[in-house]
Amino acid sequence: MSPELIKHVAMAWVLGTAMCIAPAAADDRAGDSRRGAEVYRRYCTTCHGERGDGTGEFAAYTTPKPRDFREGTFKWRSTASGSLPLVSDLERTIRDGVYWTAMPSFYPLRERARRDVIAYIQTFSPRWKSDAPGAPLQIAHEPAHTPESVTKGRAVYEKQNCAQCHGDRGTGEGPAAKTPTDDWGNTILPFDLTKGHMKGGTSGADLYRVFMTGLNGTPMPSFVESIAPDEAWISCTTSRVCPAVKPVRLKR
Amino acid sequence: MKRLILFVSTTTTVALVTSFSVSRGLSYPAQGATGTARIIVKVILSGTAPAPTKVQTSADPYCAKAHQTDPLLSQTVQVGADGALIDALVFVKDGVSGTYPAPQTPVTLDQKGCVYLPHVIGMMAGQPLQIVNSDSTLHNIHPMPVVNAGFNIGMPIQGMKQNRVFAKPEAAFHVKCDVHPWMSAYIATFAHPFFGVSNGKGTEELANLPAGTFQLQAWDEKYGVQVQSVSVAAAETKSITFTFKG
Repeated sequence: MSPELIKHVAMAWVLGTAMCIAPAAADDRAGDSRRGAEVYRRYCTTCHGERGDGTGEFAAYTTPKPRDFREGTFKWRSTASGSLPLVSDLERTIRDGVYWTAMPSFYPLRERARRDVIAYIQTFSPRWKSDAPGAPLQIAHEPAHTPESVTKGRAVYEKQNCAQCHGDRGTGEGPAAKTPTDDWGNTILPFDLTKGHMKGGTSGADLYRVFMTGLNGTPMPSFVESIAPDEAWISCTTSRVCPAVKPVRLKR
Repeated sequence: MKRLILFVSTTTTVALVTSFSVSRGLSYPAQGATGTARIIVKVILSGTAPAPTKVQTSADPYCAKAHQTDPLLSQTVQVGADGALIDALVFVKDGVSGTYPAPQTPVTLDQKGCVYLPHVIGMMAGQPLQIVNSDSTLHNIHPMPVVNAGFNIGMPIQGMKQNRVFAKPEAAFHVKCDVHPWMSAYIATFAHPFFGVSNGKGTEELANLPAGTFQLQAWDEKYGVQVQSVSVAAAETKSITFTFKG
């Protein structure tokens, strides 16, 4: 056997094995886009529009505006800033909704229907064919809340300059709060962290995820490069400006 | 054991075809040509240049202090002597083909004194971009490309550095800091090395060109785009001027 043939057999083995084990994890597969089209037409078109461009009948009456799916830009993700979300990220958004916005929870839908409609949503943007979502954020274990961690959290809040947008008291009234716009030029205000119920979920992990990966299309950046996981936890869930993030269990 | 043999033979057969076709069956684009021709580009603004506008930086005490004695002026239009238009991007739009390797030397984009330095960047697709925060305040670096993937990274620590790569060629796209809305930069990525940004004299030299006819483009964030056709021979130097109307 020539060295070149040996090289090709070796390459073949590596490629072939990779092809056999490469499919996405079982819990991160979209469903059937043909079935999803029906789900979409029934529940999504009024806001997101028939063509997924965010110009449905109710779009004019909502703030923030419904997402334009053609760009493949999604706020609520476990993946790196700028990346596509995992299917499980989209499924979580559809299942739980986005609090304080017009996006309702579709918890009553079966999980299969939610994954089917995700498959249909993926047909609106070519990014789903050219890009990969990337590895999800590994969420470290949530530490216990103590008076000491609250004090430390305040220090982290100051070190990371969160007050520049969210204000010294976390009410969203920082010096930079008057000017931010989203990527489409719409005014977008920093979130009032004292509201208690966060937009992107009710658990500490939901807030941690937002803090570390940011919100694509908005001024909220990812801080994963500038903060250690334990500091991030302290900042997110024990600072006195984020007082009431309590898990809420939805019932079917 | 039978299943193992079947698995090995199947994966080997399928991927052997892939391997051979990757190494032999496909043709690669030719390496892009270089040469000894040069084009010196001058960009000027005719008429009266707009008066520089003072930027209000009081929203962040750090930025206000940085410009206490040296007020920050808008970078949107910067004009030097004799109408020299600064920070215009000039590049070969058409006329070169093939592939050019991207340098691995990073291009630096600094956030210093609450300003992006430089204001306009031309770089090759695939070339690293090193983003630096020289300020002791929070900046978020928020490029908004269309072809490439954007990102938005918080950089709250002085001296923090980030390396990023825009893999695909793309026309100039905006970079903003949401915390300091006056901060604005533009980045364009190219498949070839024949580009540059006009300096304080409004000039830029495009060197190492092969002989040929090229479509040259000048881009300015306020005044838009102009295109000219230029033919240049080996070892020849040509000068051309783009004139934008103010």
